Amino acid sequence: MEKLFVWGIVLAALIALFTGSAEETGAALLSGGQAAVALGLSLAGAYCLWCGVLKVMELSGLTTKVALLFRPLLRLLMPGIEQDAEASEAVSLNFAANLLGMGNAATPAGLRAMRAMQKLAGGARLPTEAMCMFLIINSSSLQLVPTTLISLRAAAGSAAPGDILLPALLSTLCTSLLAVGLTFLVQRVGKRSKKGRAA
Amino acid sequence: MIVLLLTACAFFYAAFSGKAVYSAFVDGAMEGLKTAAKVVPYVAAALLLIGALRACGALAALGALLAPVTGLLGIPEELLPLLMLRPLSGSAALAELDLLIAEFGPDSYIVRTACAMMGSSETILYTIALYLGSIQVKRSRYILPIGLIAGLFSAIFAAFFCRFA
Repeated sequence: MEKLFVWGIVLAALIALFTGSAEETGAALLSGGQAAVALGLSLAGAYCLWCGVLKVMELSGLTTKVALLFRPLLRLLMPGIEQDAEASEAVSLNFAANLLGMGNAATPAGLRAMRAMQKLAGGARLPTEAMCMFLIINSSSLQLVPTTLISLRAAAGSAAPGDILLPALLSTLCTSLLAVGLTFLVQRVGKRSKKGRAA
Repeated sequence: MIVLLLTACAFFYAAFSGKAVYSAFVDGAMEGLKTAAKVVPYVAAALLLIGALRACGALAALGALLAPVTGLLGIPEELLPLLMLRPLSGSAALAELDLLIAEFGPDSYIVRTACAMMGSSETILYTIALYLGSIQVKRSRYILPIGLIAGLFSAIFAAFFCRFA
């Protein structure tokens, strides 16, 4: 993030100076900050609802049941996490909400999962392997039914707005498998080179 | 609809098992509010970077540079702006999709591919900034490259599957 941020801005500034779009680029910086605060406010509203509901579900033991469903998957993808009740519950809820296409419910559960995983790793300042896998799964969509897109097409007068369901589902599946596979590969290679250095 | 059902069921189940629903909800909501506040600076950094890269024309230039390569991979050239915007900003990607619908019609191959692509990818940069920011972790290891590769492949897969389905 560090390098991307610094060099991204420096690059943008250089290009803007050369192409004479310095005014617009400067304005974009300002409006980016404003957009973040506006987004934060709308997120805060959704988080209030979902974190509240999550807390209620947790209290009544519902979250434990959801976690039980996802336990085999977690053991495979993020070994070590399924032992920790707090982390595995939050991760499972995040996956469930993502599958249902409820992005704004998935995020609070996801953030809670990150916190729980950090605690599990003894306050790590570097993302752990489980965190990396979790984030990569979250950044390749899991959504089963793209409701927003279907309604957008319907609104534009499409003859069959739902016919993207199958291609979307197939490409979601392939993309997620690819992302998980790549992550496995990187983690395997990382482990081997660490072992090599130790020996 | 699903929001209402889920909330009502969660409340009912908890109340049925004799728990104090109201105070638990308020506790959770407070936590949510704190999380949202903690996340804002990180999101601001991501959004202003994206805004600057778009406004100075760097994204458009990168698109022109990539066009021959993505053409080989089967991604229509009309989808390049969307491909660049998708990892960066959900709302910008939706705005771009709106433009595509207006230009090509909702049942065109371009728009169907665009939809499949949007449905199978996420706003990676924002997700990473948000999730890592919430626990004040500043390094992202290999998450971003893998996320970007997955994003590119979502377009390849979408272009491929939309040709048949």
